[in-house]
Amino acid sequence: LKLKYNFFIVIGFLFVSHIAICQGVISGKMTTINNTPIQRASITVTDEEDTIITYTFSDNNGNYTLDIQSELLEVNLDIQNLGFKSIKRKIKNVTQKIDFTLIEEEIALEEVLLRAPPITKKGDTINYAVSQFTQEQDRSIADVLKRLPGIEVQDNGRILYEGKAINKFYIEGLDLLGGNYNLANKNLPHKEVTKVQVLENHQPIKILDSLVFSDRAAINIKLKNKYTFTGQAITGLGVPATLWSANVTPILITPKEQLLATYQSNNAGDNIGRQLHNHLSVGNPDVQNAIQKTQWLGIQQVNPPNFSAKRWLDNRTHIGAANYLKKLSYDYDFRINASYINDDQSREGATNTLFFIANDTIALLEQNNNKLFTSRLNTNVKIEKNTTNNYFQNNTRFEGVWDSQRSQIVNSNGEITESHKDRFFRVQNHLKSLFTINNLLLTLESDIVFDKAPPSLRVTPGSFESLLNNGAPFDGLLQEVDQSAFYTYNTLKFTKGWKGFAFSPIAGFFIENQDLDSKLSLPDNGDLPVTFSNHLDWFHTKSFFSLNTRFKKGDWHFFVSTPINYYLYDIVDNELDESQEINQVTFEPTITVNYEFDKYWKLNTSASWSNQFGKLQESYFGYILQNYRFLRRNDAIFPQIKNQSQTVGLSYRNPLKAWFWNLNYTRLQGDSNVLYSNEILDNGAIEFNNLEIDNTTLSNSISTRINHYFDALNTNIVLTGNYGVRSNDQIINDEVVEISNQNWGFGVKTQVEFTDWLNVEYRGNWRFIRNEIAEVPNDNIVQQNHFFDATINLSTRSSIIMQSEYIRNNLLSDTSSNFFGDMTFRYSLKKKNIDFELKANNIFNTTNYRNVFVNDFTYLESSFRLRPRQLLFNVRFSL
Amino acid sequence: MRKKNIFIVVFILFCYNAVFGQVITGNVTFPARKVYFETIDTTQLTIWYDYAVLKETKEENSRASSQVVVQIGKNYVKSMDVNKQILDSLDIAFSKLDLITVEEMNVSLPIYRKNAFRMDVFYDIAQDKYTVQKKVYTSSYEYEVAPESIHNNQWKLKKEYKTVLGYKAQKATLDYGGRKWIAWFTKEIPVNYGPYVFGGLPGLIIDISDSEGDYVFTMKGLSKSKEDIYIDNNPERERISQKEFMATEERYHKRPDLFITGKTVRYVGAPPKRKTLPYNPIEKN
Repeated sequence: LKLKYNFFIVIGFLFVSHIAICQGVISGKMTTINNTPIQRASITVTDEEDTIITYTFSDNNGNYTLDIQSELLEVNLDIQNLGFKSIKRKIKNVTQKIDFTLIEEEIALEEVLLRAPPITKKGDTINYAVSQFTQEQDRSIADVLKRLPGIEVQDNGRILYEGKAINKFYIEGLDLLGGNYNLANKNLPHKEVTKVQVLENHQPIKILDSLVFSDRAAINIKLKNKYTFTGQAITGLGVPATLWSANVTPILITPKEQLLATYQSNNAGDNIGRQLHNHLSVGNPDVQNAIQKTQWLGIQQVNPPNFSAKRWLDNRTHIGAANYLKKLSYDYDFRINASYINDDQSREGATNTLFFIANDTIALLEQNNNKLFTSRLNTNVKIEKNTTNNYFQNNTRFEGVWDSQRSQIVNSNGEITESHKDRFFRVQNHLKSLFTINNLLLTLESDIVFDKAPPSLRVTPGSFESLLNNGAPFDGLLQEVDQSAFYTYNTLKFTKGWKGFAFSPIAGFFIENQDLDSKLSLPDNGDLPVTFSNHLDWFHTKSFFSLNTRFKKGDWHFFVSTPINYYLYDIVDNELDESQEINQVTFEPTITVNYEFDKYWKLNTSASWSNQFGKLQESYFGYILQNYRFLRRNDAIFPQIKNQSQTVGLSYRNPLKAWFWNLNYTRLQGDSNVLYSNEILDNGAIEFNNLEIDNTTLSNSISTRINHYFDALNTNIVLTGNYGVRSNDQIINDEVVEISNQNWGFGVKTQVEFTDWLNVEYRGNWRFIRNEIAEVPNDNIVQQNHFFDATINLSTRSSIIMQSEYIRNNLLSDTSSNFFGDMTFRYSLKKKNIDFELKANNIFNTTNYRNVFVNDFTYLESSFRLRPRQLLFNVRFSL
Repeated sequence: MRKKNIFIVVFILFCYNAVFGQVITGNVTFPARKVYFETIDTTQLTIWYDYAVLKETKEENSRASSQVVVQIGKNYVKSMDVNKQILDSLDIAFSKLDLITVEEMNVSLPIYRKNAFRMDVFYDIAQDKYTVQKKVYTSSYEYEVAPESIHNNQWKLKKEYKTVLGYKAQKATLDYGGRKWIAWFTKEIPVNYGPYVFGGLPGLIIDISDSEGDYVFTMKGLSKSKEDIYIDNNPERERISQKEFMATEERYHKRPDLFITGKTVRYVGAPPKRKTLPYNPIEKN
């Protein structure tokens, strides 16, 4: 204790009053020596033992009043204020006025050393203790996951964290399943899991960890034990006929190795094939887009309804998958994933198609019976090294498709059978490497793809008689296609910042070499002319350089992308003596500007210009029969569409008042050098061709959404509205006609939480469609649907889930309405890890659904046979 | 303290460089945020508390902790999280840059997550008024603690004593904001303040917690060094009433989906319990 200054104690006090009662009220004023009032100084009254009797503080003017409620004759006064010397006085307990003058003094307290702050969270990792979030009815980790704050699991199994898709799903830090994470999610019992970790801002490539910011999160599943063998088994039976469902999924997790195998099967309308859906993008999105499998041939299919598959999927599905991961030396991981699906589906329905041609309408009624057989194998072998100073990844995939489809159609002309074999094989290698040169981090990506597709289609009896057989009926048609393709795509990029700008140059090239051989033949009536076959050599390269620039200033945010592309196409069909060569340099910029007016209002705008060149399936010269009534060739020059798009969006977001509103407008214009020509024959068959006529497709759309949450009612209400109009030209039976489609849509959605155990939701949608061909309006279409769901938790062991759906469609001549109801009852024997579940679907046994689809120049009214009422009893065991 | 902060920042930057080798510009940038800090006072005394909070009632797993600093000046008393102090000093440092890149973000993000107290509380001595600055999701708000709820005269002194950090402390209890608070104060430190809006005892509150143990402040340090006490005068901060603030904050925790996006998410067949953020406010009513 050391004082720097000398100080003087000056106590000024006045002393008035003599009252005989030994319980006084003291009052007075506190000032500094300069007579400045002192605020908030404490006056404490204590007894001889230093026990506090009462206390008060001086007010803004330095005044205080204190009622000493004590029998004592004398009390101690203690006046304290930080930065002033304390005063201790013994006074008589009588009502009196005492003023104090306080003297400034250096604070005479000893410093206490600060302890190091405790570690709260480890970096960006949030740990969720699974046991804290579990409810009685939960079994798999998926059941718990969807309840964790910030995590959302969509109907298709995709996992979102704070509204954004996760970028990795790890088990004990290892990526066993890639995008097929639902295999683990749906089958791993939560009781084996101790923690779910959310790794926020997760950059999966470690060398980029502190360099490239990620707004995505990953999920890591931490198990209770280092060595875990687990999984689940489900078996179920039901009526009508014999419904079954089965699932056996063993899972083995050790620090060096992980294994998940599964076999699942059902014929109860459960779309288990979804578990094999990849929810993470693999490789370069440009490549994935360029190499999409071409659907050369097909059958006339019955359109399935656009609601949940459990109502209409008539299936016999088997899936099997094996996934294995092993850690190797030198930080390499080796992984192999294989999956196989075998599915046998039936679809049955009828379609009534109206073709609007100038001054006439052709109607075609078809009764259709589809058998869809799927057999697909996927394998992926991956080697990865992911350390803080090195990244290398090589993926080799094989994909095989052995699908068969058959349709049996009855129309006014008789009976037609289509039988389609879809065969497709692909080997793809994807390599990605990150390395450093002169302090610049470069990213190299390379893809090589080989495809082979020999599909075929047989139609009995033959169609297009006038074109193919001089108008005489004939027994059948066989369309064969043989496509082989080689693609390679290579890019190199880096990013550099300079004075408020971030520049990302990227350069690359794409090479595509394809051979298309096709032949349409009449097996019993001999070969057709060469115009019904293709022997196409297709060679295409794209080289590009692009500079992406990002700039942000104040409330403005700019993004400009300036790619310069060099396209080369060389297409030759020697036998048809046709060829095309395109050499073109294009500039395809994109500009985005966003502005934040204030924290409520935001404006975003964008404009882009791009070129879209024809794909192989738009540029062959000989006819290909795509289904029994669709025959296509492309006479014209190579298609090129110049696209422009402009968007403007305005949004208002006020969380304080729970109001959200947005409005978006989009304009798209496509200027094409080829026009589609459809020759609709009297029997509804279509000859399709491309003709060289410049034309423009224009579409304008506007949509809005408003949302308010009513605190007091625990109710959320959403209203939506949209309007769109699209116009384009087409040639229909040799006449150029303008087609215009208008759409209006309105929606309402409300959710109410009545109590902890009862939650209801209502959704309603209305849609109006108006179609005009050559300025002649067709009938308006009105569609509406309404959903009402309720969930009731009866006890911790049992719950009931009720769902209902009402659909009303205005058809071509009448209206159809459907009502559906489902109910699930679940009961658990928790100690034995066994669940019983009784599911009643389609209680009202609605077996037929009718709807209308509107296309450019067709109305298509379809009816579809649904799954009848069914009852399924499931027993589930955790392994 | 500023020196200490800068040292911490430099240390963190050093760690990042040490771990990741070289620093290369990433490709995500933000403009530097303007800062609106205004110095309003100088500390006479600075008190540090260990702070622990249960983010969700009765869920020990939701426990978060950090440190709260109470800066006592002549005219103002300010409570804030020490991590917020570091973040503010980073904001000042970054405001001088043209752009914030991933490097800077990677420095501040982990600190941001450690901020458990998540508010700045000011006591204006002359006006006898508590003001709280706090964010809900990304919006900043400021509200005055309703004067009738300031409790200076509601304390019940107990004849229980203990020694904390060498100070003789006395127990006092208070019903406030729907919780029963138990405080230990010492006359040996002549200030009638404490963390958050607690004060009005004849001495410093050196230990205060609610009866459930949801909120715990324990004094760990004291310094007499002179530091600036500053207030963030960001014009975008919205002034609302405490009642409005509490309703907004509660709605955010109850329905973060609505709050963040204005959209609701539908969970078919999921139990009625909705995804919420843990919510256990220091003032329940």
